[in-house]
Amino acid sequence: MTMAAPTPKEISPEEAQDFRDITRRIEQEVGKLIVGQRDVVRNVMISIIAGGHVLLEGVPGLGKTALVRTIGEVLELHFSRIQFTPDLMPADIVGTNILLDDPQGGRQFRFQPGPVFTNLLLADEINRATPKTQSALLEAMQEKTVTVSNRSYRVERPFFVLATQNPIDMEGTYPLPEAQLDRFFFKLTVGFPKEDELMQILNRTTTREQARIGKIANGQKIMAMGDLAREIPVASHVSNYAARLVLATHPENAEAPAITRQFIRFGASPRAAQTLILAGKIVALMDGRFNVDFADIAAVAHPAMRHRLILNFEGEAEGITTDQVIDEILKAVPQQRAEPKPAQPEKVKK
Amino acid sequence: MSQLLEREQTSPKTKNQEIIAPAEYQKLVDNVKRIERRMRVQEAVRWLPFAILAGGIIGLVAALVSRLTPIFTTTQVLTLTLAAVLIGVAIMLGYAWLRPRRLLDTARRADRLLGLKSRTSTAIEGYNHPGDIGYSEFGRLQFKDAQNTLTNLKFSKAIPLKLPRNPSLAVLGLIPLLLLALFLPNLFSEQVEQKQQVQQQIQQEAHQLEQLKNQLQNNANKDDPKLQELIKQLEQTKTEIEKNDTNKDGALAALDKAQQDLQQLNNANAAAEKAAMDALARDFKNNDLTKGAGDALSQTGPDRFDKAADQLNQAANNTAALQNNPNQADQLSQSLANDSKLFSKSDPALAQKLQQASDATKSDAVNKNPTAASQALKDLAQQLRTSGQNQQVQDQVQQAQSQLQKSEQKISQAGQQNQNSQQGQLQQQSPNGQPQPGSSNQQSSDGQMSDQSGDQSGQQGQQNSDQSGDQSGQQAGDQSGNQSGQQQSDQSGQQAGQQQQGQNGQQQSQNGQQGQQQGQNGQQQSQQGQNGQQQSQQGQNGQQQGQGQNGQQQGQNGQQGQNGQQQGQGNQGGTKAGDGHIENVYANSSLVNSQNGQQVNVPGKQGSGPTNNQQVNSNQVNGNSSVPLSDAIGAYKNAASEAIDKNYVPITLKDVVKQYFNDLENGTGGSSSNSNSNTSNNNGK
Repeated sequence: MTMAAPTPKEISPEEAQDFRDITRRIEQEVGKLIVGQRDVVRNVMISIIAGGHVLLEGVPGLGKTALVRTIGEVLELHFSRIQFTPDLMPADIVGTNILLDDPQGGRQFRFQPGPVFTNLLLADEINRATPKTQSALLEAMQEKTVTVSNRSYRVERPFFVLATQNPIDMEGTYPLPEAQLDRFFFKLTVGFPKEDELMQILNRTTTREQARIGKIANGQKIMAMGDLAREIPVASHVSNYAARLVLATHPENAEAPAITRQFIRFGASPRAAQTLILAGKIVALMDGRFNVDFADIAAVAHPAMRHRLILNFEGEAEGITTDQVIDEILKAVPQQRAEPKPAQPEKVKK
Repeated sequence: MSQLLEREQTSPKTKNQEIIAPAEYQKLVDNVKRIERRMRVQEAVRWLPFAILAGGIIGLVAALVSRLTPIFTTTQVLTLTLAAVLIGVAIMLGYAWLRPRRLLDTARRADRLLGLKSRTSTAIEGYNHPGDIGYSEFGRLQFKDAQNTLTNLKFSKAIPLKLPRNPSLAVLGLIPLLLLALFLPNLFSEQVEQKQQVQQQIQQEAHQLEQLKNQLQNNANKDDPKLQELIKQLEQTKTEIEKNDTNKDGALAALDKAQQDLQQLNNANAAAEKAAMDALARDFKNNDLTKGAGDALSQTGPDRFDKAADQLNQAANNTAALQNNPNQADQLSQSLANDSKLFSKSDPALAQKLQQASDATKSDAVNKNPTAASQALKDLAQQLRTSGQNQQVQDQVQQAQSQLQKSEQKISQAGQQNQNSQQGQLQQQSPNGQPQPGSSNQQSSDGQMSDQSGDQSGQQGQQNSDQSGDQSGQQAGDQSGNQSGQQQSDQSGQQAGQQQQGQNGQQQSQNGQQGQQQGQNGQQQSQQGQNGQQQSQQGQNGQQQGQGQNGQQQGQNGQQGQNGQQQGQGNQGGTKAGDGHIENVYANSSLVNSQNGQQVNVPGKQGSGPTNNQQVNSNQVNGNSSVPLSDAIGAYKNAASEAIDKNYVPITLKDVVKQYFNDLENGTGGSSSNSNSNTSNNNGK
């Protein structure tokens, strides 16, 4: 019995257009409440579509929490918020088994889910919790599961962690371990608003009138958008560019620029390359293209790699930031490597 | 590119290839190729100034070097520059147009140059290399997106054809520098040109020697030891002058040495033998029995001796005619006896056979023993055959000598014309016809200058030039008319201050075959004047040398006279260029016997070249030579000294030339002139 070859699935232009429309409308809705921060909004949206987690870094009062909350509302996602403090325990995040009396008069343990069981988790000032507590998020972020008392519980899909951390007032904080940092899709730096943006913030927040946020999509749609974006083709020389960018962050690499060799202790992980490609696909699709370009990769290089580079002592002492290193790497790594010569037939040794 | 396309299309069918029609893909490829052509043109335009700049810099360096050392002429630098520019442009165009470029590479370049954001390369790679890129549900969308973008693209602005600014400015700046370096006066350019002319002339003469050698090797008498020696000598000389192709003196010395060596091969009695052979031919013709042999011997072909011998053998079988005619027998016997005396020195063997034949053909001897007479004639025929071969070899030796002499003369003259003009030492003739030392390319106001190159005259094969009239002035040259002053003919372009003087007219004959000179008074002189020298060379057609004294007749039929010498050599068709060379030296008019001019016919061998006869009549001019030898000799001596100082005269001949002019100044020029005439002619001074 022969089976007919399945007809290849094709994505219609309408689907691609719908993707663009949704992302545009999300940006518009978030923009009603969040003034400026367009790049942050856009990158958060890219992360969410890609199913990744975001580490937001910025001084207090810049609207990080408001941003996350607004996105949750726009995407119609269940939202939870955890304020990380030094005395926060892992069970406070993932949940715990509690002893309950059953109707028959007996007692039994029952799992009480923590705030991690949500679609959108805001981990506020995540670096104020102890590493033990921070690591409680590791499994949930990567495996989308939580294990309590040898029993695993699957968190809801989609599941996004948006963590914030304060770059100042570092006393009494616990920097995130590299393993946990690597699990963040993007690390976004929330900058201070410009003058006109600040005036807009004042106007919007000091009156009774509050902007109404519409619901643009839901969790299922977001995941479908992520699946769609993954179908975007990437030419080999473009993916090669992403790989070379990541390799250039490694000081031991021969093609690494001087700044890498001088100030970097550890380079980006392969997750960084995956992030570059996946984010590049979403950027391309949001831009109305059906292929990834070098510019798409370069556009997401900073948020994708800045938290994955570990400066050495000299870099720390010199006050070098990972963004500076990435800037140099982008300059140093050519978009297209010199094409290798066509393979010549091997000469037969006599 | 098409092979690549075929190779790419032969890969296993992919899903992208299932959903995208080949025609659509081909359309995309065509668009990419269109862009590729534009990019190649852009590359060519972009690199064009660099190519020109590279060639120009090479030319500029060559021009500057040529100003520091005599290496290149202006023409060569110009040629080098143009060649370098053309080569640079050709390499650039070849690289731009012929450099293989994969379709995918072109697509990637197009993406980058045109801001296509990797659309084209992704589409082509997705179609041809599914393994690298994977199947995409966006396949068709992405392909159409790339195709639409390319179709609507106007890349004339994206790929402009603009010359790069800085290299173009550099080219514009280089051009005037190059022109200045090329065309500003260069002290070395004349020197280089002379050097090249010498080199070219030496190579040409080497070629001539090679031809002569080949000709001798194909000769029937090639096994003759003398001929073998001659061939060997020619080969050595050719090799030697080729080694010295940039060394004029070296080449001249080699030729001079070769001439001296050949002189040893030359039979000292060759001229006498030739005259005797002619006499023998006449005597044979005067007798009915041997008339056929005489006719054959009078011919000019190389086999004339064989024919004559054959005829003589036939005559030997007909001795009965002698028996019937005792007078004829005695006449033949007497003639043979006379001829035997003529050959006694030059060819004793033939003289002996002639004497034996003479004895055997006396009327009483014939009647007594006709068989002996027949045998004597047969022996004579056999000996004649042998002597003929020797004669031919001797002719060839003389021909080789002539060739060497001509080569030496040409090489010595090569490159001097430019120098003369550079030095501004042009000969000027005063209105009264007095010549000034220097070049001969100027003429007096009364006369006309006749300047015939030797090459031109040599191509004519035969040329008669008659000048007649009672000219009391000076006349020299071939193409003159109504001359009341002086005329000079510069057939080599190098005859400075050489004049010929005569009271009753002088005639010059330049014949490869037959030179005829006729004087208006019924007296003709081959060459007149005590110091007169005349040498005519017409390629390989003829050479005539004459030295006369006091107007005495120069032999018979162009043979050697008492005080003169003529050599006629004409052969090989007259198609080769030769040098005419006339060297005229003023003679004291008192020494010239103007009344004794006699006609001399100078026969040459038959040539196949065209014949050009010129007859130039001039008005009669009365009076004696206006410039005595004593006035002119100083200028000539200066010119000769200058030539010696500049090494235009071979080292071995310098002393001879000096001695020649010293003798002239001391009043012993007659003997010196004669003794050194060949030397003077050879060097053209």
